[in-house]
Amino acid sequence: MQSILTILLVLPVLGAILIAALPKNSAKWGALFTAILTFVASLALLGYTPVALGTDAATLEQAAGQFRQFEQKIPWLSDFGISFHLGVDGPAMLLIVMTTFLQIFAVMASFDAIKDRVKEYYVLLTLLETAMIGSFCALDLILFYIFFELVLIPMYFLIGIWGGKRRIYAAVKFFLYTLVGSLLMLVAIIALYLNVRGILGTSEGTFDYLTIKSVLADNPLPLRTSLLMFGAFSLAFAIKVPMFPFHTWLPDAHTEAPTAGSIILAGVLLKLGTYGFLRFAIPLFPEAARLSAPFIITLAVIGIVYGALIAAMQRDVKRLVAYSSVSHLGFVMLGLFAFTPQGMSGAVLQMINHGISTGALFLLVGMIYERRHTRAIKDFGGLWEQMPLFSRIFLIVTFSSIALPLTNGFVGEFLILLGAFQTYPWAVVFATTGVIWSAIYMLWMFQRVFYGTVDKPENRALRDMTRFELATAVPFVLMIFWLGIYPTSFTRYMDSSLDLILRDATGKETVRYVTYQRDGLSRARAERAATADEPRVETPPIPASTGPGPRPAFGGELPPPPGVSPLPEGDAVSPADGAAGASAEPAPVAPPPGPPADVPQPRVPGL
Amino acid sequence: MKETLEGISALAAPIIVMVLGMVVLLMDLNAESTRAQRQRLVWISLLGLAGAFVMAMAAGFGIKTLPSDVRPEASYFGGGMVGDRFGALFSMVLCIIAALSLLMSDRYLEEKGLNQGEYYALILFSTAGSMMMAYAYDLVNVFIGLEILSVALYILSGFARRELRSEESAVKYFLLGAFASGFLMFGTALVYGAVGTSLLTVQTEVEKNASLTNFYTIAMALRDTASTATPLASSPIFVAGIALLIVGLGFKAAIVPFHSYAPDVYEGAPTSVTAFMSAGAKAGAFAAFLRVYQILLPSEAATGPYRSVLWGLAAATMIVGNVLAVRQVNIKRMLAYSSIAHAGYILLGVLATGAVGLRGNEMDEARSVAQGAVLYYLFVYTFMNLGAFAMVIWLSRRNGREFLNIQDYAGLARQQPGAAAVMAVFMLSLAGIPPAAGFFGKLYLFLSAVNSGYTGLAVLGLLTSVIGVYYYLNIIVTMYFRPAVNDFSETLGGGAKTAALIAAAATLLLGVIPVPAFSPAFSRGEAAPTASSTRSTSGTAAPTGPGAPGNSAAPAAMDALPVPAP
Repeated sequence: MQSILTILLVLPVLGAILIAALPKNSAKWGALFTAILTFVASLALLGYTPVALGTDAATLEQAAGQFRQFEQKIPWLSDFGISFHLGVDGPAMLLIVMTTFLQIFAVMASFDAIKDRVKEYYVLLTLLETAMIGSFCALDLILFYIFFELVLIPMYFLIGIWGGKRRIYAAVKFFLYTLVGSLLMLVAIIALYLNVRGILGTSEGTFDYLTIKSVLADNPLPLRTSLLMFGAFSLAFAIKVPMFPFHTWLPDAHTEAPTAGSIILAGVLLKLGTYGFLRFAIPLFPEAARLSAPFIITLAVIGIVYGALIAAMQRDVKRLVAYSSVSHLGFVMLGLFAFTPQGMSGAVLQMINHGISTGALFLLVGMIYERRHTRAIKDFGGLWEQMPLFSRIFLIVTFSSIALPLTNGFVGEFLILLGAFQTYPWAVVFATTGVIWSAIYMLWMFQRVFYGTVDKPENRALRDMTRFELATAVPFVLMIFWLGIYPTSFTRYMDSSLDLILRDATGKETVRYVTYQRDGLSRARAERAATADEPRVETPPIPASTGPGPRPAFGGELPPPPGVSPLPEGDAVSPADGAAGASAEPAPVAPPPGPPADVPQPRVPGL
Repeated sequence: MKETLEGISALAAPIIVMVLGMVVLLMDLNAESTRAQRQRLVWISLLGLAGAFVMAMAAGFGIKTLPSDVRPEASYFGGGMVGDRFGALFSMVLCIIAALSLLMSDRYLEEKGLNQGEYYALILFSTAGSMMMAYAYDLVNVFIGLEILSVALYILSGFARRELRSEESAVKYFLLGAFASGFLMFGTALVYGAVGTSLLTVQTEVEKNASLTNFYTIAMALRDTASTATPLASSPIFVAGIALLIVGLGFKAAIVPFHSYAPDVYEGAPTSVTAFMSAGAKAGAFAAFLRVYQILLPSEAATGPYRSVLWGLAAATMIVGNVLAVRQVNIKRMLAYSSIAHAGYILLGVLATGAVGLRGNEMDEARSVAQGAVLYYLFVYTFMNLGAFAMVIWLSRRNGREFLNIQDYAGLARQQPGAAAVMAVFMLSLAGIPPAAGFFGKLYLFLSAVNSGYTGLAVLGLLTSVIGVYYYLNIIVTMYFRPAVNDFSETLGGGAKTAALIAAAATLLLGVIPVPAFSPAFSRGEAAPTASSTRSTSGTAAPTGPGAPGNSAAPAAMDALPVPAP
């Protein structure tokens, strides 16, 4: 299974060739087959075992260890130190699985909608999957850049050929807007290469992410340089996210894209931006990231409120959902740059949540568009009676988007707000209004579309969901509740990776240490205290009554978020645990690192 | 200097191509004008070019001379020509350019009623001239090569002699080109005078009867007079001479502000000729440019004034080419401006061979990276640019009339999805979007530019290439997103189709598969990308390649393939 990532990259390409060879009518089945096969293959990634974060010193070893499990490294353009280097850590792994999951429904949503140039459509859609997966697992900066750009090409065609009325404008705007940012990132990548080569003092440089990261960790760049590079990386990713002033391509692209395009765009492509921050911008330039955090948080909060306000005013359902993405992604950015464990976990969780709930919303809007060929809110009304099944599923997804407790949206947003409150309380004050706004625009839209009487004659003939449509929608509903009720089965994969990123970013010991033992399947807590203000390595002893080792879960000063079930002591076997192994023997808890006097004092409870 | 014809096989490529041109002319003499006989000419030409390609590879790869080594390992004709790897790589690129051009010409000329044997001979002569520029080690030989290249091109651009536009193209090209040749000649004369004067006063190793326009002589004169009261580098006559050389070569390479002929000439000339011109003339001009610049490089005083000039020229070329291309409605004019923009990128790479603020080993390193990048870019550019022109021919009507307006290609993807996809590959590659080869070409160029301290220019290059993306995408938009206006069911196809498909395959593969021949380690003449010791020995090592290319050079070429890093 070591080569699973390469397999995941190759499968869609083979699928695309298969589709091209199939007759026109069965192209869609070929695409669906490929998507399901890729999804099943990607489940192998769930065998990923979170790497324990242990002692204070060996951070870089562990950083590399994060990626070792499915790592592949083949020399490629070795003159320039470019290699075909793939690997995942927790968040990347989850995002890949989310991508392959959404791909299935993107294909299914196209079954009835696409009648023109069918083969080309499915070939492009399938190739897009390769590019997306590649972006999430590339560990070489040039390789990442290539996949990052490669995503643009199929999407550009999907919008431009199968899009709505203003599709050409939307497609070109999407392409150029994203390209400008990423070209600046390319300059930064080149500059980074040369700087690292200068530091290493060799004639051969490298574009390898892990190498560059470890070199930079030992030899920090001058602040001015790293701020410039961080700026270039951030601009590329901020456009992709999109953050507040760079968001104008998004509503156009979303509105004009076909349903599948919207699902992929919202579900995966926007995550490339936030993932870029998480993987590249923050770990490579931690100091610059820390310095820019207040600025980025400000933009994120503006995005949250602004996106929500604009969404409330939209007349087109799809445009409304598009603007709501600006608001939701603002939350993700807030969580990332709060630099607290809860914020980070919340942000990654929210990335997945947003993929699921917004993907579902676009899917449902697509269904109704196929029936009425309009998306204007005023053209509907009274659908609750007319399409009972559809309305109820739409309601659940709406709740998820509003972040009602027990749905996935709540967990993500709550964690983000909780995390950000510790560092930027005022930002949270404003950001929280976004939650209220989202209730307003979503429910108002829901009310106008579904309640009242059927006053338009065209709406009387509307059929409810077909069985096929139901089959596409139900998995989303299941995921919404699964993530909402038991998010631990997802967070357990990513917490240790995030702790590491956080430690790199802040230069301090993380507050939460969660140790996972490989064979024990147990989630033991070896929490170590951590003073949020002391630099690592020289943590002074803190007198405290609690001894080292496991401690009660609810011992912190802040209550754990509802809906997040803290695990009991020792081991807890979640349903997803079965994938990881068989032995259920609780492994010994890793002893807390540091000098004996260094007694942990928990500040904030973990997840 | 080695005075012998013994190893002349190092110069086999231009000789073969030149002789091939004559053979084609002779064969055409007694030929009845049947199509089959013309086709035989094409096949013979292609075969000959393949031979030249192999000879260049076998002979040139054995020799470890750098364009920056002032004293070449194997030189011929009184030191006026040098059979080195640099020239060999250019010759190989030129063989490909000529082969693709010939391949796309045949049926196109037939349909236009222009299918005459001279055409093939002229293309071959022109190629040989361009190759000669790449091997030339004396300004006089550069001039001769340029003239062989140009005179053939003047005739070729007016080859469609019944078309007014073609005539205009030929006259315009000839008048301006003759003027530019004059500049080059005059520059050579000034350099001759300046070098000769400067050598009178100093102690030098240059022999008494050495050619004063030889690159080696110039380099020695620069070095030996550097510490005297009247250094050659600051002699006004020398400075003026080099400036005139830049004008003359810049004209052939279509660098702004010497570019103004290009759009008209490109538009008027038969498309197959335009295709050849856009790559072949550029390759020759840049080869000579690179050689002259390398000679000047060791002397800070000599390159100093030109750094800023070349900086300005590269910036202007990238901006003007890209900005003016946006407004073009004619696809050939658009490609003309795009080729101007690409000349700007290549010039950036030439400039990067002289690193700012680096010394010794680092400077050599930066230089060989930049040389490799320029060569690689020309290689890639050949495929994508010739491919785009081949598409224009492929899609033309049965009577040889091309669809010249970009709008004519609307809806192509619906009628000819394969052709549209191939065209899209070329456009994406020209735009520099990964994973097409154009991206890697640009990556290496900009990498070497930043490496050599030209960060500003690299950023400018990236920003202007965003403009480029716009007009290249415009073609894709037209082909894919707009409803059809023309009927593409009857296309010309033929050799142009083959050429386009070959070029597309190369464009897709070149990026993904590393090409060892263009890696900096290779142009340094090293077997593996680690040691830099061969540099010091390359001057003294006995020449291995030229003697017997069949047995000794081929293993050397094999040695030169880089070993993947452990």
